[in-house]
Amino acid sequence: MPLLTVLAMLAPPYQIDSVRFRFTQYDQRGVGYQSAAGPVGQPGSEWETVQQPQAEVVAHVGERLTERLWVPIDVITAASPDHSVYGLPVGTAPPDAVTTASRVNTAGTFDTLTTYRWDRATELSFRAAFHLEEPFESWSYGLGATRSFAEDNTVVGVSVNQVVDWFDHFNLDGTRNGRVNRSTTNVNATLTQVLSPYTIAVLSYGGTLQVGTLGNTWSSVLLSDGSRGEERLPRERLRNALSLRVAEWLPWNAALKLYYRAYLDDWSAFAHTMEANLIQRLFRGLHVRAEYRVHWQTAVRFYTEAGDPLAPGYRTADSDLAHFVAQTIGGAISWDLELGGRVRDVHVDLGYERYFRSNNLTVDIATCGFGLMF
Amino acid sequence: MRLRSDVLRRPRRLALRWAGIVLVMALGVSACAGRSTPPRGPAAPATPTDFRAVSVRGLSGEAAPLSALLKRRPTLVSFWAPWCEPCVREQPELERLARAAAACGGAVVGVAVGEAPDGIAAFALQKGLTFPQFTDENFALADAIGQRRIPATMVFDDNQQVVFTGEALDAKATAALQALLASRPGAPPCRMQ
Amino acid sequence: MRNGGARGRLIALMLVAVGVALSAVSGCVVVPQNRRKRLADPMMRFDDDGLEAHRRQKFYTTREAAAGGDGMPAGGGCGCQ
Repeated sequence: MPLLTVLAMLAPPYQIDSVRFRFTQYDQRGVGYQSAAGPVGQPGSEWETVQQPQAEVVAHVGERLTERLWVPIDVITAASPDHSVYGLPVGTAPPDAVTTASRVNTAGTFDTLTTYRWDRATELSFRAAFHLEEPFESWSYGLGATRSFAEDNTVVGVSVNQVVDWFDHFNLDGTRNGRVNRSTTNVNATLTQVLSPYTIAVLSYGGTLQVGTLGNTWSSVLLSDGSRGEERLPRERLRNALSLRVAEWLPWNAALKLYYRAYLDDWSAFAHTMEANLIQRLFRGLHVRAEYRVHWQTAVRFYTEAGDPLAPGYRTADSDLAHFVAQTIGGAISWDLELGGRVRDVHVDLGYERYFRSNNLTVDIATCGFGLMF
Repeated sequence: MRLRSDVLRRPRRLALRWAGIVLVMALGVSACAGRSTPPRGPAAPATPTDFRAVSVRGLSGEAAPLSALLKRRPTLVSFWAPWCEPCVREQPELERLARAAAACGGAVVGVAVGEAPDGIAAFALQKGLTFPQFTDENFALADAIGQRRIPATMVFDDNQQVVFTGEALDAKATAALQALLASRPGAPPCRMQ
Repeated sequence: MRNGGARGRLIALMLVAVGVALSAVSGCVVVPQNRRKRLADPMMRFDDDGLEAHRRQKFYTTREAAAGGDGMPAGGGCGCQ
């Protein structure tokens, strides 16, 4: 006990740098062919609401160690399991989600990131996370390193992440069939470069290999004879993404951030994503932001809206894997109030976005954030 | 029907594409190696003593060469800027050090780089800083002295020679100032820490 | 054939992206630390608000086929994928 006391006294103090909270509400409407919550032989409702509170604490121990703890929770209410809403007797159409957990599902994550400053130019990081929802659990770990060059004008970063998921396997008729799993292995490489006193750019590559059961086992495919069959996905997926971000300071006290990503995987999905954000400082501490995002993707090669009942092979009707163009328009206002005492800064923000896809999906997103900086 | 010429052409096209990628990257890296643009402001002086003649501005706007700031006493100079968080964090410690050094015949001076006097005056008033502050609005002094980082700490002796160069204020910088003050003939004992 | 065409498009895009990025870099200005006032402004940060960045990353990852390129795994980690 005296030894512990001495060690505790010698240990550097643990100082909280910031505490942040965010609450986001998502309201989704639309239809999709993988949903059975609709008339027989037709795409069903993809109605869903999500309430998402999040909390984050960042603290440092001594001069070199920083810890970040992040806890997001999702409360999801979805239409597709609840086909009784559409007046269909239970059992006449196979549900594509069969547990009450899928109807109203609460999911939570506990995510920690530890960053250690090795020397002036080098940082190491370690990440560990645990995610839990009723039919599903996930563990993930990650390691990363960054090194800066040329008076910190250039920063090179690499990281690897490993995620393992376990979840219940349900047949389309609702019988539980044990548990299945999947593994996600991810590597990233990043190059950050100062281009001028007003411009900075980040080039980033991410490669991900997923192996195992890669979909929710209760997703269904509408077949050409009007019935529904199980979704069949490959047991492997290799995903590549290359992105470029540029931030430019504008002379009227504003900043413009541009983003482009090219994506390709071995399910034949190919996508472009572009985004622009304009942030304007109105006066000290008060900012407004406007954003526009556009995403274009091809369908995976086995996407179908009327599957052949007799054909073997892969098939999916997941609307997220279809060909579509998605746009997001949104804005936010934020205020940072400097207090200068023990609480150095208070941050408040409010934002709204609308996401709409060409294949009949719309999401309204409202978010608010609050933070204390010490 | 795939012709033999098609079979042979595809790997060659792919190889050409990858060769193109490698070539562009090599050009970029070779163009990048070892170049840096000269900083803005006057050209770096040919002799190391020139920086003492470079002027900075006081918070009332008056110009003075560095030699007038240093006088003939051990002085710690802190290069900083209000947008630099580590710089702002060490200002209270510099304030404390300035009072201790003044009691022992030394001085602590702040030089805000790239900033105008009125902005620094308002900042000093808000933070309760009373030790001498100057501004190097066009980076003339920072470039002349070869100081590109902030925060940066330099200690000068009685003869205005640099005896210590460091980054953020730390125990080594304080010890360098204390050693100078202690080594003066007839100097009283002086604690900086 | 479709897959090869898509792959070729990606390679061409990678060429353009890397070429544009490195051409800009080949100006190779080394900006001294004391001149990064604008770059240090919070408006210029890509990771200003971690909670906002995470919710956006999860939202798009669970509604689109594309994911990744942002330092996070492209998939896995929840029942939403």
